[in-house]
Amino acid sequence: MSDHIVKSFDSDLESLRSAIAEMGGIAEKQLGDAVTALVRRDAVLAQGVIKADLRLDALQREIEERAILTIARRQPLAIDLREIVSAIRISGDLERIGDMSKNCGKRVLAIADGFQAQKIVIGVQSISDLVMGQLKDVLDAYAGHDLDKAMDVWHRDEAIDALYTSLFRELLTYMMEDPRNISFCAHLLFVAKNVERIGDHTTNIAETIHYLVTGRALDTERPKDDRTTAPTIAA
Amino acid sequence: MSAALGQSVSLGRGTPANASAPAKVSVRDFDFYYGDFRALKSINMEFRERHVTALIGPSGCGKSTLLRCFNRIYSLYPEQRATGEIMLDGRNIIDPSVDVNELRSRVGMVFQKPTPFPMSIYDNVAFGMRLYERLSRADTDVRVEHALRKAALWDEVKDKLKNPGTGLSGGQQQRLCIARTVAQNPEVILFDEPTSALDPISTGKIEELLEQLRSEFTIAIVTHNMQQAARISQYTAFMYLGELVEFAPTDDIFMNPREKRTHDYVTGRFG
Amino acid sequence: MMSASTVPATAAPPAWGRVRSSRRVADRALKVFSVAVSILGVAALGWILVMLLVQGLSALRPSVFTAVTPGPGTEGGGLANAMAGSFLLTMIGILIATPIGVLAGTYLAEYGRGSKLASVIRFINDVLLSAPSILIGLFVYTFMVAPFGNYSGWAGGIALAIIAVPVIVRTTEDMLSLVPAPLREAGAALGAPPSRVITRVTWRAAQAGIVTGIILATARIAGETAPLLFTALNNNFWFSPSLVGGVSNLPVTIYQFALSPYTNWQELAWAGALIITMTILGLSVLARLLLKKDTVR
Repeated sequence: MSDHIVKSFDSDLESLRSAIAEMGGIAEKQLGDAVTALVRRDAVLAQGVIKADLRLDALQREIEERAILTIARRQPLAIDLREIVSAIRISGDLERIGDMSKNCGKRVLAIADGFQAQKIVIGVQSISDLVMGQLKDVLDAYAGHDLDKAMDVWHRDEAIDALYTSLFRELLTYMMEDPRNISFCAHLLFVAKNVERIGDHTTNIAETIHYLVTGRALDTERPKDDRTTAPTIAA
Repeated sequence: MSAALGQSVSLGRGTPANASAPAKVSVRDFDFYYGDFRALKSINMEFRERHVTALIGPSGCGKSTLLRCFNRIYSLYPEQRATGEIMLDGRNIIDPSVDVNELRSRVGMVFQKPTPFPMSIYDNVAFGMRLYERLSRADTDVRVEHALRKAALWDEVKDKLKNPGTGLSGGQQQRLCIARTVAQNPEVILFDEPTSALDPISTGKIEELLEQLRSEFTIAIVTHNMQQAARISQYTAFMYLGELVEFAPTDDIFMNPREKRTHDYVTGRFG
Repeated sequence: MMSASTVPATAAPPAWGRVRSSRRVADRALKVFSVAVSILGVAALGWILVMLLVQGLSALRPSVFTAVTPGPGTEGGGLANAMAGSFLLTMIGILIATPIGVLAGTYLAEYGRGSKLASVIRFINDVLLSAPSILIGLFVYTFMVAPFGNYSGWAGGIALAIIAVPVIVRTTEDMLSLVPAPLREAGAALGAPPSRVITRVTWRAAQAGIVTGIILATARIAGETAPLLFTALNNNFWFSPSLVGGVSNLPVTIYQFALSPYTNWQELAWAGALIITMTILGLSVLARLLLKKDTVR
């Protein structure tokens, strides 16, 4: 992309992009740490995850303010306007992702002193690995304005939803096997739900990238494969 | 509120571009020369009836030149000439057999700098309609008031119609010029950067006025202010070096232009 | 290769005292010299005016405005016939010159812009503007006086008109050229034919300037002597109402009386000079006021 005639406009946009990159880095680390803390029942690490959220919130507010000021100052059009709108949206998604990692951290604190079989958390770990991959890819897609990569992330979410459904059943099974697992598994269910929601936010970001690159909203409804909601439970 | 959300979204106000509106003016393979210099190169486009079409582009791109062809005002200058077609209601107005004064009574024009004539406000407005119509004093009064009301100037000048038009403020002078044009009952109105010499408040009033006029007239406007084009027009043409680079609904030009040159221009990356 | 920021550092210039004193001296010197020369020029003019006022006012009597010019050796007398004659000749001149000048100027500024014919006319007009007025007197003499064997006020008026025309052409053209092109275009854009745009819009916009040009032309011809010597000549009586034969007028009267040996003639010459100068001064001031009013607008 060639430069603007007004150079400071370029630096305005550049600072937005780098702030998003920083948020992305923090959110990735938060999610990774949260899962590690869960696997190791590491309360200290979980505390760190919760703390990191403050920085994420601050960055999100900063991006919003800068974006509004840039709109007011430059009256951006076309790609520039989409770039700024996308920054606002993506920072919102990343902030929510941070909140969910924080929730995971809190759950870890609640179960840190339990002695449950490690195999129970393996399912949560694998869904988290998938979502981590999603998050990393979608951030790469944003940095490179890579539409194909973003669309790939968007389609992959189906697999995460499917995995979540089976994980839900698996955890139910553990609870039925041994009532002492109930509390632990309930917390894990919440962690899994949070991680699955993070996956949804990565698809939001992918949709934003689609808008950013093409100028059009992605209008087809994303295929959903989450069968854990009401009907299944009621059945 | 829910009603507002239900409507289709568009940059400009009012109804969005309606591709089924008939073309009032069609330009076909149109070339224009200043002496030997070819200032416009094979222009093809339409101006839809009762829509605002904006012409944008850097200085010297030919947008004003094109605008000045629709009323053949260029023919005041002998070294300027045009070839090709500009069809207005099925007639090629470039053809010498078309009476230029009749054409100009159908295609009005408002200029960059306000051009009030050195006469009273009343006579300014009556100037055009007195040219080809025999009007009684009472009829003239009615028409002058009607035109001034349409130009949103009546309330400001109704008590000083006998004062010289040159005594008004810049924004009022420009609205006086619009009233003068409207008084002639044209079908097309051309605006050549009508607000570039005005302050933001006066600019806002003119833009508001354009929005009102659109329900009756086909409007073509040249502007350097891209936000203005985005606000007031339904179609936008981007011109560069005498060529029509891209002509599309305004939303597309400003949010998602197809051509790279358009994109670079609207985002301020030109040159 | 070198970017602006890495230009080798020169000693920073002093904050104050950057202008060398020699420059300040040169600046002063030029200023003093120009003021001195201006004062000299104005002083010369002032001297002439003061002389004129002193000599003219002492000669000014009511009879100057009522009595006819005296014959040689006659006592008293006035300038009534000369003043009336001058007024008439000037009026004839300006009445002939105004329509010709304004229309020609309009052609040059409106219709003939950029045409060959117009540039030829413009060139000839400029030549005429600076032609010696005695030549114009001679020219009119050869075809309006010599063939009829009689001097006449008509010949005088036409000679003055020929002098006034180029002035009016020039100012009219200049004033019309100052009218902004968009105003003409706006007129044309309403469907008005050129004649209508010119008469209703451009003339009106340039009105004050054009009238000023006419007034200045009047001032110019009111004081002309040379063209009248060969055409209206002069006489010391009331001229015939048909203006045939010599018509008395101020400039030639002043010329003849000033050279005469009679003191009363010389005094009348001073009075006449004062009257003519004041008239021209008045016209010039009027012209200035008109232009000013127009630009203030």
